[in-house]
Amino acid sequence: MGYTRVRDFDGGIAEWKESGLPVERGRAPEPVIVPVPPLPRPAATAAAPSPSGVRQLLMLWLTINLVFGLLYWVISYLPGHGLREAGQPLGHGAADLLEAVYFSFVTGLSIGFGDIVPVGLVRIFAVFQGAACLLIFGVIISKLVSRRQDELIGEIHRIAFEERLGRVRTNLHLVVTEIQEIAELCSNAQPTAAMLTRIESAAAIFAGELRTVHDLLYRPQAAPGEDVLESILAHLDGGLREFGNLLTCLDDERRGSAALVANLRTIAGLAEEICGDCVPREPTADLKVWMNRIQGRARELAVARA
Amino acid sequence: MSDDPVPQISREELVSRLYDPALTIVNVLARAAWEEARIPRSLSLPVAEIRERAAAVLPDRDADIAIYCASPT
Repeated sequence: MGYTRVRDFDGGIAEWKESGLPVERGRAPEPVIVPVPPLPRPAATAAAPSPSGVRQLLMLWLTINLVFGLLYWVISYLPGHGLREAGQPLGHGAADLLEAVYFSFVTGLSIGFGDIVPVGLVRIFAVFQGAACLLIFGVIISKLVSRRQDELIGEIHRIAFEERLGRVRTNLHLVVTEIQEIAELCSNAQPTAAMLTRIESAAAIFAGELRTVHDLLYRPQAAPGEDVLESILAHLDGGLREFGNLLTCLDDERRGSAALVANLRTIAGLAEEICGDCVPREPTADLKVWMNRIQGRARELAVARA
Repeated sequence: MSDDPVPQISREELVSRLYDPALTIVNVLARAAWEEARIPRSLSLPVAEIRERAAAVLPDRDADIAIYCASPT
């Protein structure tokens, strides 16, 4: 029939959908907006009553006390060293071993009843044992206290982050819808002052949200998941495209409004910095496509403004 | 169109030119399938209607056109 540059996309709509790419549905052509996936649920915060760190420290504390108890009992074989109870040196029986362990715990807890007293070498060991056990106890207490705080701070960060993401998506969606509506009005009639006001406010909101997304991309340690990011980028792309279309419908005089010019400059500048190879995070191929497209749109917008 | 096999367009190219106005995307499935799901921006031109509607839907015979149907054939 004379068409010269027809090519076939062999995969068809089935492969398109399988790849997770956006599809349109319904009778009238719809704006291209990727369905918004639900926010990923955060992993349940580890709230075990005794985390391994604290448990290990407790075990270490117990072991130190037992080993030192045994040591004191062994040392009592040396004449002139060991433990004394009521002035008499302890013997070498099983009961005496228990006495030695008891003394060790009393020392480790830094109680020091004084019913059993160390003599000779044992005095030096007992001082070191007391110091070591005191240190370990301090670490255990501080861990118990800070763990609760860490949990709370983590939770606060998470809630604030999700809230911000949700707001970005809602606002982007509203802005895109608003611009499409204005564009439709614009294609049917001469642009009015009221229309310009709507465009200005849409541009202001869009610039703000774009700044947030820009921050997200440039701070990879707090980045959302791929699917969330993809939907945000798709919204951004749609918004930039609509802005480009809209500018062509405004006459030069209205396009020159100071507020609009400033916001469009911000939008073009920020979007220019979004591309697959310039953001610090390593994006997937799909995200790269979106980012590069956004950068392309920014350049088109800059040209349209000029 | 002659009987020569139609050249292919890759998914990557299609994705990257999804919003390129120079590329026309055409769905040759029935209208109901087009309404059910379609690649964004694609026009509906069911195979059965090609003869009578092609000239109206695709006036530029030298334009870049990508056609697709349901699944790999």
